[in-house]
Amino acid sequence: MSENHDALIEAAMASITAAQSLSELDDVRVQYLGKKGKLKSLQEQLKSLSPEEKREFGKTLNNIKQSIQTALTEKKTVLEQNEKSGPAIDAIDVTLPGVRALPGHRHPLMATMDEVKSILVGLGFRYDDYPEVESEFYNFDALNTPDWHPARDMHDSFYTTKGNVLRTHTSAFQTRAMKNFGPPPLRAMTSGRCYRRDEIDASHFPIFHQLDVIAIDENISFADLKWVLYQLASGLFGDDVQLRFRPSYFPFTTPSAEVDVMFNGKWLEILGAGMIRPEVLQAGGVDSEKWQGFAFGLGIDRMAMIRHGISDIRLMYENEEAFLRQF
Amino acid sequence: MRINTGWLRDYLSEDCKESELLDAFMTVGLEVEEEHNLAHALEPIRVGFIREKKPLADADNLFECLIEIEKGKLITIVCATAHPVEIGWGVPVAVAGTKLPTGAFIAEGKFKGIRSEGMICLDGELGLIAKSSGMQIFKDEAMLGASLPSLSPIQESLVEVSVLPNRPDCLGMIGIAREVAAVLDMKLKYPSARVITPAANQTEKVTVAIEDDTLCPRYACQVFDGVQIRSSPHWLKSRLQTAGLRPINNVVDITNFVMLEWGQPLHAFDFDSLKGNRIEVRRMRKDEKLKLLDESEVDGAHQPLVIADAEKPIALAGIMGGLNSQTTAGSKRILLEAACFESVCIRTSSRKLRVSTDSSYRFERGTDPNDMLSGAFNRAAELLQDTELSHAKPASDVTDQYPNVREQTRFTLDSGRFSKILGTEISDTQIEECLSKLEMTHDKNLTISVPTWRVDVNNEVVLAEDVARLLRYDSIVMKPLVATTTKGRVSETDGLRTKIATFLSSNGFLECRTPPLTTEQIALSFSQWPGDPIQVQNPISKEMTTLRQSLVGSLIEVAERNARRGASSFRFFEIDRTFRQNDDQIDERWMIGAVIGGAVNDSAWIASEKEIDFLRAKGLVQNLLAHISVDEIAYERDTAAKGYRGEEFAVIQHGGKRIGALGRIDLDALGIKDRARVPLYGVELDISTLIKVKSPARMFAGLARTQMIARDISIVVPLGLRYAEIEKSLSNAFEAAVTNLVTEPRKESDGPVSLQPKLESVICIDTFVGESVGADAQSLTIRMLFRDETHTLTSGEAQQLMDYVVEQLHSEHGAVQR
Repeated sequence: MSENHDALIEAAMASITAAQSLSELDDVRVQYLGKKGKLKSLQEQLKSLSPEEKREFGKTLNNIKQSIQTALTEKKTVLEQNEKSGPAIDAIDVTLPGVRALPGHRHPLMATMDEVKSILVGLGFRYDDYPEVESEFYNFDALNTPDWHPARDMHDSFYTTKGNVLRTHTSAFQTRAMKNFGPPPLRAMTSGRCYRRDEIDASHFPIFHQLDVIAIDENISFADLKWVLYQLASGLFGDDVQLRFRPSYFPFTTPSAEVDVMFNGKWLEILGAGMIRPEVLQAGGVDSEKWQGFAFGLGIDRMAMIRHGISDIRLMYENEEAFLRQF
Repeated sequence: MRINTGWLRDYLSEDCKESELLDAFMTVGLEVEEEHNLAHALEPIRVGFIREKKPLADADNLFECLIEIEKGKLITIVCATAHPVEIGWGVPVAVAGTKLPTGAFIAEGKFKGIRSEGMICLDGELGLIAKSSGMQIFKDEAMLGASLPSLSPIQESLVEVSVLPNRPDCLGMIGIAREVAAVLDMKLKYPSARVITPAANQTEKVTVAIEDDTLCPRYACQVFDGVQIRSSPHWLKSRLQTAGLRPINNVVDITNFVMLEWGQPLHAFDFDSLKGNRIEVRRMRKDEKLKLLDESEVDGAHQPLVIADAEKPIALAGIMGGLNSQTTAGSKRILLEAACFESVCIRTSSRKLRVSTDSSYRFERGTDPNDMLSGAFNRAAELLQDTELSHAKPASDVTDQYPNVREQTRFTLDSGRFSKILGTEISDTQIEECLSKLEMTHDKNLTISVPTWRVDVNNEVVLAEDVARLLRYDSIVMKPLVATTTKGRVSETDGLRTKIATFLSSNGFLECRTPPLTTEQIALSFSQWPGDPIQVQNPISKEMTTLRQSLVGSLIEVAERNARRGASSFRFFEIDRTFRQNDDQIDERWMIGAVIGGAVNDSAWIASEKEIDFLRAKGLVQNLLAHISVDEIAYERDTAAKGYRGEEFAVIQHGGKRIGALGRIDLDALGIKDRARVPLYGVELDISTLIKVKSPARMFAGLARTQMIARDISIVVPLGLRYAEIEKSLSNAFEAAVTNLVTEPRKESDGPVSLQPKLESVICIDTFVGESVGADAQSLTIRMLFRDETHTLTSGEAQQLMDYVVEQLHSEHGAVQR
């Protein structure tokens, strides 16, 4: 009989050792100590025994029960410790994707525009909005581009039925800003939509975005212009940015320059700049004998295309989700 | 302007590397649009040997040639007799499908039923300037199939430069060579211009009458006799071809060549078709007509400036000659003309009559009346007399009308001012050196005389630019801005726009950029404010005629476009201006527009079954407004703006004033096919108003440490009673209940306490309509959160308040507690 008991204890001990989790261990407990467990059936045998045998057998049963119980408790502590300290087999698969709503995105054009703006704000420029439905005066005449001027050919403009022009460049803000803010020093900028009657192709869209800047003070020079443009370019393209300045022509600046940036081994044209012409300062009510300054303007569409490697301007106005989610 | 660098070198005193020449273009400010190094660009041109040649039936000027282009491979090419070829010659062949550097595309063609599979190329057609026969000929059979550049070294490029509009002097080879020479430290080599000595037998005399010399400051002409009209020599033809002009006959070619060389347009009339030995430069009379060389006819309606003989107009001044006086194969005597016209006058005529030519292009930008005669006219006169060319003899003196001689402009410069503008030290000597390279002369006081071809120099700052570009822009050292400090900032509106864009893009919205210029239908739908539409008078397409009054229409197009691509969930926004005109006042109103629809939680892998409905869309608007501190917002029913459905539409108000709208889109009304297949909602808010009504920085309201009491009431109310009414009554009832509140004793306090509980939140958490509540009724469950700031309310006190509220709702609205 006691051999049977030993076998029972051994089997119980083996099961306890084999248990890998608290629930498996609990199964073992039920199997031996539960209401219909193996010890219960041994207890049944008590009824048929004499009082002396009963006492003896009762003691044995108690011993068996206690040793199983002790083993269970010890194992339980170990398992609980394990479960706290390390991954168990049934731990969650942390590599499954998180449940989330799809994120939104800023448009690459607007993100680029905001970035340019924030660099310039840091350099002391104020940002304001100016009209898109503009008078010919501010868009052309005030910028030293009278009606007969051949430079107007560079801008094929949209006119409203009431005779206004849809601004062909953000430079239209220059003399407005000079008038609005009174005597220099002045550092101002604006950005937004511009309109030209261009045929749509991979690099032209009749409605596009520009950002224009002016700085006027007693001694602001071409050398200062170069410095500001390097600050801007290094903010956009990194500290080791290379720029190239080429002579160019804008009716409202002299000297004028076209500025290229070295990007992926190629020179890319990014902006036009120059010293504000005395005629323009005068149109803005600024004494050109006392004050001088620079102006520059850049195409935000082109800048966004360069920065993000977008090959076709039309993609930016089609607003396809597959495109917008990439930025 | 297309420039062959081989031709350009004719005018440079020294030789230089091709790459230096190309760099020089950029340095002086000539923008190189396209550049073909002919040594590479002519790689596809192969030497083919002519094996057979026979005249084409019914065409006496065409030959059919069989040409071997590689060992054993023969193709047929039909060629003209313009350039003779012989059997056994090796010639440059472009097979069909080749694009020549001059831009011409060689396609297969059919002539009199014979298929031609390529072209035998003349030098000019290849973009090369001819050195001898005008076509390269090879005799050595070993060269069969070899590429052209591998056989004879080619050191020419074709460069397409865009000449800036302020520099018409660069619309000729000499002008460009002058700039290039200045940069490369060379001398400009002018072509020989022999002054014409009057011929012995002057038989003709032509008078010139200029009606208004402000429109025509100078006019010169001369008769030439014994003209032999024929084809030009190869050196001349090829030069015209490289520039993209078609050779016509020697006289026309000479005038074109001189125009390309000097930038000065010239014209040759058939002298025998002119009447009265008299040239008039005058406005066209209203009843006159003139047929131009291109056979189009102009009338006198706009009274453009014309050249006339004693009887009739013979040319549209500065633009195009007349058909009635053109030089033809039979012309014996010609009248050579050079003139200077006022640019605005030519520009106006050209625009009004819609005729633009190489000639008008140059006059519109300005020409030099001094170079006109001494340079261009004399050069053309010399070429006309050239025996190799037309072999003509002068038959009259030069008649030259030049009443007001244009003098050189003079500027007294200040090197200090130049230094200040450029931000680098510039000396008098540097200024003198730089400007003399551009043929400007100076005296001791730094007074500079500017040649009359520089029509752009109207201010001394232009000379500062000349100095800067000849010193090179890159040599000006940048320096940190030293100036008065200014405050950098974005405008308040712009700050708000960024805040809104950030909020929406953090809430799953995609930002769009759609054209503000759109169709009238899209532009005027969803418009919430009165005002005339702003339309363009010269649209480029029907899709872009009107400036929009709302952003929603464009965003619907975006949603539909994405629906076509398979999207089922839509969250798009845009921040932009909308446009209206009230009399002369233009209203450019900044708006935020959004379109939303589809699954609420558009997670990539656990799809929600819930779809966006009106209240969910409203919830987003509420959160947005809370985010930007706009409080006290009311949503009211109103007549829906066009494009919204009336039953799901609200105008959004602040202080009784409209700040926006929210509603379900009515695709049917817009005539748009529903591809989204889910309800779409549009929202639009007026940023210009939001900026005015948003609260300043929020103030701290204190923290109550007592426990919040939450009570739900479920009531049945008549259908049609608006929730806002119930909520208003409920708040009023709660306030009244507080005044009647009987406080209960508390352990912490011996005496009675004073209680002022406040209703902190009222939320409708459920609505139900159904049989169990009756036909004309609905059930609402409303959760109220309230507390007193100093004492936690007892359940008895809370019950008193609730009982009173329920009673009030019953007496005011007949509400019954469920």
